[in-house]
Amino acid sequence: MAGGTVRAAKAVMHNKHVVNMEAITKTFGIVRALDKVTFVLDAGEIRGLVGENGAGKTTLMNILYGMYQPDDGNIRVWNEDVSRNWSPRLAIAKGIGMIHQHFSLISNHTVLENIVMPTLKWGDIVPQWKRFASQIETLCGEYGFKVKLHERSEVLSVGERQQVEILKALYQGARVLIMDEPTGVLTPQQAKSLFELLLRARERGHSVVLVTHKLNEAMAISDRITVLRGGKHIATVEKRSTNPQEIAKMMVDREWISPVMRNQPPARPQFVMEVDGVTIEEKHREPVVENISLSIGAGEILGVAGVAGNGQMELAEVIVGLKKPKSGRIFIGGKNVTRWSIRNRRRAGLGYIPEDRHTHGVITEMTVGENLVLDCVENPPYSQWGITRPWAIDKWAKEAVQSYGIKTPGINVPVANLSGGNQQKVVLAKALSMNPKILVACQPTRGLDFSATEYVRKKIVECAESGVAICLISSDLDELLELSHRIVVMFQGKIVGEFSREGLNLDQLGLLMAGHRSG
Amino acid sequence: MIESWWVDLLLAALRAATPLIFCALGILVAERAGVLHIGVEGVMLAGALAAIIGTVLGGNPWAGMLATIAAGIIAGIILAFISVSLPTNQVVIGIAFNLVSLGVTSFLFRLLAKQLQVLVPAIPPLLFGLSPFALAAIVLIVVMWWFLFWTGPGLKLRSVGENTHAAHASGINVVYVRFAALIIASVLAALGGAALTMGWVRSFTDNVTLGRGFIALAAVYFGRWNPLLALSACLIFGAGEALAFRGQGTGAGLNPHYYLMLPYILTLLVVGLAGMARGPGDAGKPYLRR
Repeated sequence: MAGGTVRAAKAVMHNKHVVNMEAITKTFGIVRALDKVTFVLDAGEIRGLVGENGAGKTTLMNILYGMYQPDDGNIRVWNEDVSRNWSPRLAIAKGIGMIHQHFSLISNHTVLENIVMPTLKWGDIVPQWKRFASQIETLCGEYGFKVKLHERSEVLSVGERQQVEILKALYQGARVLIMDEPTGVLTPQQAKSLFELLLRARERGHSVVLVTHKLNEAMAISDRITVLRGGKHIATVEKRSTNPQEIAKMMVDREWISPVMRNQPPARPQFVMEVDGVTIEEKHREPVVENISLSIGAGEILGVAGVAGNGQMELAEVIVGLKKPKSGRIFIGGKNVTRWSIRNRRRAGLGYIPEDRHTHGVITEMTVGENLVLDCVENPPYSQWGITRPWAIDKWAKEAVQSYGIKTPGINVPVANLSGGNQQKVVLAKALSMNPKILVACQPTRGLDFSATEYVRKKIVECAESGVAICLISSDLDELLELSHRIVVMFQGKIVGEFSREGLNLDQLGLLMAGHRSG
Repeated sequence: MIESWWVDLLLAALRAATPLIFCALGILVAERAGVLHIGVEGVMLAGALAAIIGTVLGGNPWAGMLATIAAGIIAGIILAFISVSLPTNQVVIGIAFNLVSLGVTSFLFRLLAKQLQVLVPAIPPLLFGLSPFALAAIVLIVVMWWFLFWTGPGLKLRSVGENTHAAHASGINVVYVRFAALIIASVLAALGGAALTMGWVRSFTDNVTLGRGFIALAAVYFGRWNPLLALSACLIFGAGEALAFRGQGTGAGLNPHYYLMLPYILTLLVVGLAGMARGPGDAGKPYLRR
């Protein structure tokens, strides 16, 4: 690869340390997020910073950008010690720009205001908006951005917002761009143009830190890759002299995990859940789910495929009882539960793993123990005569933490302090502890790193093997193919196709998801 | 003299609205920086007393103004220290401050009862029979509107109120900005109190503000955190108050207490009918740097 060597040579030529972080340590409460991490960045290089969720990548970069104060360690930027009183203001002044995973644009302000605001001084009584606008337009032309400066940033698409963020950093004179999980919200096409943009920035001598847990991204454009694991620096390697397997091994400290063993479908399933002709209408009388019927047998995993927003979530909410259907019936174990309350459905054996664990899954301010008994605290042995029995709750919580491998400093720690994967394990433990007969799982592995994903999938399969009927709603096709016995495809609120595991045709599945009728 | 009745009503409304406008300006600054200014009523009360004490003991209105501004700054520092530096829940501290202020002002008023049992000299009107307070209020509304929406510091202030995370990420010291905003806000609210006692009723009584700070809160809410709209809301409430006074005076057979209810009922109605308003995104959220 000629291009690759030229780029690599360029990176070596500018061999000057831009950033030198030494022995950085940071703790949040009792969680040690970073432990004596050293990070050296050269001018004109793209650095991949990889690690699992909770490895400390974002924390390290937030410290470099001055968002967090390190507990210990030295930061040098352009060979100047900046460890004292480091703040985003100084970081910007030194040419460091950070694009956060959750963008820090002010949705109520225009694009122009958002870009210019950080450079305004408190004495700028009459800002020269026209001059700013033309400067930004020049910059746009240089890098090939297309943004509408006078639009409120609220109305922009995610890709556009990211462009505005990068533009903001460049406008401030950033020489170092920190991109925190930049592609998590982008389509593949948007991601591609982002990478082209980063390469263009490198050609101009900028340094880029690409924080990601997606290995292939880091491999695609980085010059060097730094691996963090559990808050420790594991290695920094040249991209040319490594391969994805090696990096993956450093990230998780074990060989690539083999996929879950495909489970056997039950021979003649006995249907424990049926949905019969359910229609759901939203406020504007447009049906979001139209006349859907499905049945799931004991021990069976039914996958519901579809591009997000085609009525899958509404279907799940109707089954659980969060939404009322306009027409149709729902049966659990042969009983018509259409008019039952959520609590009664739960008692009848319905378990639920919600799509968004923060709004429906856990109460992040409450402790691990409290969350684990949230659904069943009114039942013995957790309470008697309406009074809770803390020792019983503690005992069960400790068991659950052990058996589900929830990494937490203790059961009295707020769930908010746990990493995403461990929060999801709490949700899982909570749902499965009721010994459900039916489990509705929505996007159960979204946002989890691969070891947590493997764990959750394995648990779902185990669950099915023990005879639970599972409705698995996911936009991750690999997950559906790996776990489901049958797959139904939803498009615009209707079921447009059904496949058994044996008769699966991947091309046809894709076409159906995109709205093409099978002929 | 202008004879037309509605000009008359407008001027009367503006006179009654002047204290409200100052308080509304203060609330605007604070909430645009993301701090709920529930304590406005207490600050206003403190300013109202300070104005009278300053004028009586100092012998002239300028001394009253100085005392008012000093009271505003002190109240602002107390509020800012508790709700920004510590920080604590902004609503709870605001309510607590109002109660403390009610107690402290009544206590000081009793200590100085002998000297304060007088009417301070009326402040002569400048234009159209309007006091300097009313004119200053109008000018300040326009200045505030210009400051918030057309200047650099205004943009930065609004950024802090909308999204502290983004503001911090762009290099703004959120704590300093909120601290300063609360002090300015409290000085403005104290001036509102002075406009009430020094500029209008010319004496102090226990709880003289009678919930005007809260009415100003409603005006800001109704005005969608925009100074010009908030001004119109203040005028509506001022008109209610002016009508209450006239009704009381002409007394069309009704118990005067019914007329005195008018501004409060008007507030309830207007805010109730105004619908949901979306304030600055991060207003009310304490800010903690990690």
